[in-house]
Amino acid sequence: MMNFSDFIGNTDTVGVLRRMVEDQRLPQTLLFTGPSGVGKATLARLLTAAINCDRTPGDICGGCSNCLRILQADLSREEFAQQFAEREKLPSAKRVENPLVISTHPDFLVFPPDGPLRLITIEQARLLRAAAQFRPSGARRRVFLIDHADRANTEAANSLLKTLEEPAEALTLILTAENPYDLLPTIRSRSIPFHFAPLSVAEMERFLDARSDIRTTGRARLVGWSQGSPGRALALDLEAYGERREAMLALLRSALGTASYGDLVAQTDRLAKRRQERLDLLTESLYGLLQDLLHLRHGSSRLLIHEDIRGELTPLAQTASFEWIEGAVSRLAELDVLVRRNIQKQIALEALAVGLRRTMRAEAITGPESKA
Amino acid sequence: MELTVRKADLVKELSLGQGVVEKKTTIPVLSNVLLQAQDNTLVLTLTDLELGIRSSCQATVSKAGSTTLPARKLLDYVRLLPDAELSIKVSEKHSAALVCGRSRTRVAGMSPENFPDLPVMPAAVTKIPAALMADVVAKTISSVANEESRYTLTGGLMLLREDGLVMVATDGHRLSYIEASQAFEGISGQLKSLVPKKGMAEVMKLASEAGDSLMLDFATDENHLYFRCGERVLVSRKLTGQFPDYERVLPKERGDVLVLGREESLAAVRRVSQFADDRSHAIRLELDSGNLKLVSSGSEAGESEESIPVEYDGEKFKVGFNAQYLLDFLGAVESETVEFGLRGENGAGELRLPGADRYDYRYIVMPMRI
Repeated sequence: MMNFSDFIGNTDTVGVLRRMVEDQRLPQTLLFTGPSGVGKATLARLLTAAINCDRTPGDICGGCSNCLRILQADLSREEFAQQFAEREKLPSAKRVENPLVISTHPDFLVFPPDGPLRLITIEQARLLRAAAQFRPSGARRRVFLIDHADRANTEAANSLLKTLEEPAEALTLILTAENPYDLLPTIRSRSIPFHFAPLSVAEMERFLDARSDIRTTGRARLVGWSQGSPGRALALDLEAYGERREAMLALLRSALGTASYGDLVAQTDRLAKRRQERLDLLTESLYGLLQDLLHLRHGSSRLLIHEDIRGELTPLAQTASFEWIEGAVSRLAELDVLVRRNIQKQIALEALAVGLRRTMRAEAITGPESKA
Repeated sequence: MELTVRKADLVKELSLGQGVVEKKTTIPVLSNVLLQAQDNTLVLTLTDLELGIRSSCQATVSKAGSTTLPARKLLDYVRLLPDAELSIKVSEKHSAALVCGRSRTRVAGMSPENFPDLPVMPAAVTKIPAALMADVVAKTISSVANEESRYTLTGGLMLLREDGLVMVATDGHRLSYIEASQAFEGISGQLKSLVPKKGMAEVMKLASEAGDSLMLDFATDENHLYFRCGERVLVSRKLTGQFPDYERVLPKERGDVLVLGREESLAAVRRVSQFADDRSHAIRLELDSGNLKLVSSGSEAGESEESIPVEYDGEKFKVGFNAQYLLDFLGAVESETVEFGLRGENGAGELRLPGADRYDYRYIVMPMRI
């Protein structure tokens, strides 16, 4: 059974929030922001249990029925993964009829993104509004967690606003988002923000030490690649990530002109054949590589995410100017938006490489400094 | 768990709870009924997290235990069985083997651990006559709002005083108010609670099944309302929020009171409303000395009018109402005549039953611009 002592990292944020719970001064809406997997939803769960624990209010006894049932709502558990997989197969009309909500305790409702496009839907927002009107059932305070609130579409976000504006009694809403600026400004202004930073290397090591279920081989790579996110470390398949990174490295090489397009096409072809491969996971490793290039280029002394291929990255970093990296990141951001529209993987990646190579050429003619 | 139970008993208790079973499948265990067997009783619990029902029936329990089985499926099947003893035996993985006569069935179940606990009913505050409870809900429930945007209106306000029971429901366009004089022991001051619409419907069901002479035990805590009738307990969560100040809506004066034949006016309004505007359902009431005219002219389909002779000799005036709201009242009450209080062109209409001895029952309809 998890407790606050098992929550690693972001100690200041945890401290502030715990004090709020102890003093029973919890605001109506909390917004947890930060990279995926750093424990936003986990802490939401712990706080809810602490608010409602029967035996030690303000802390978690881990034994009472409130604690037990609230802490069960861990969406990374096998049974939920199964439930989500089954939902993906349902026709969308069926999903509309049964908006997705996870509730292991009647007073703790979790609204995760739903469907193949992973969106918070208007039906979920309506369900939330309807559920908000009830008094708590067996708890002191009800908590609704909207996980990945940045994934709410416009209608859903507007519908949420109504609930945020008219706070129900004895209800706290917790919203999580990787980037607060993906949310409507009106939602942001109605919530108290808490930022969650990635864990330090030492904290990651401590986390991995505490988890006996994680294999010990490739520990250094795991720490680097998970980028300070325990959630990512748990979900990370080192082999698959390695392959994805190899493909993205080929993309970077062709984009920077150190390899031919032929190498790239071979790689993207392979990816396209694997239908399960998700484009957002590919862009994620590309972000990591670009971040490393930036650090190398500017001689930063910190550990790279991909420390294991520092030798390969160093020559690439010399060809990539700051402006080029900046341009690449913004192109990648555009691609991220398109991912939600279900675009074709192979074409998208090749277009990205070609587009980046073009900016490379343009820079070669005008010189990278002339922009400044 | 191993027991035998009479089929009829099981069907009776299972059907009582069907209104409570969650129809959505998002939380699978809520589609199930929790069965707990011990001390020669079978306890059935159903909940959708908003409402919960716990009831029990006699059974011969040879091995205590519990499981959860799909409520709908179980009822549909058991109903088809001949009226005899049914044996239920829970095997591995919470599934149950049902044997009745020559029929053998296995029903897949789910772990009872995930079934939410129903709160325990505290000591009863007072007793409410079942017939009275069923009646006040039946007379107000149609005014409860269905609109999800006005949450405090999606339930009825229940006020319990030492000398009476008040129930108020409104959707912003009409309001039902009923006050029944009755002495309630154990109440001091007033107990105020917002009952969700679904809760009202289930209380009505529980109370009307109880028979006229029975009493419901009533209890409440911060978050719940409890109604107990024999072995059956209905738990409803309270709604949050502020119910509108209904006392300001109740007209102080009755205005011009017309006495109308209920069936006659019901039929007239129904006919005229056929030609009312499809969206607003607005009809016009034109009052002249000795005559009430109902007119609809809102739709392209045509116009319609009816005249009803009334005792009236005041000023001429016209007022518009939503025909559907009038029909809801006229169709739901049982009496020879109704009293329709009108207060000029912009005044709300007030419907009452004549000589209402037991209750103070009022139905207020807001006027429409026509």
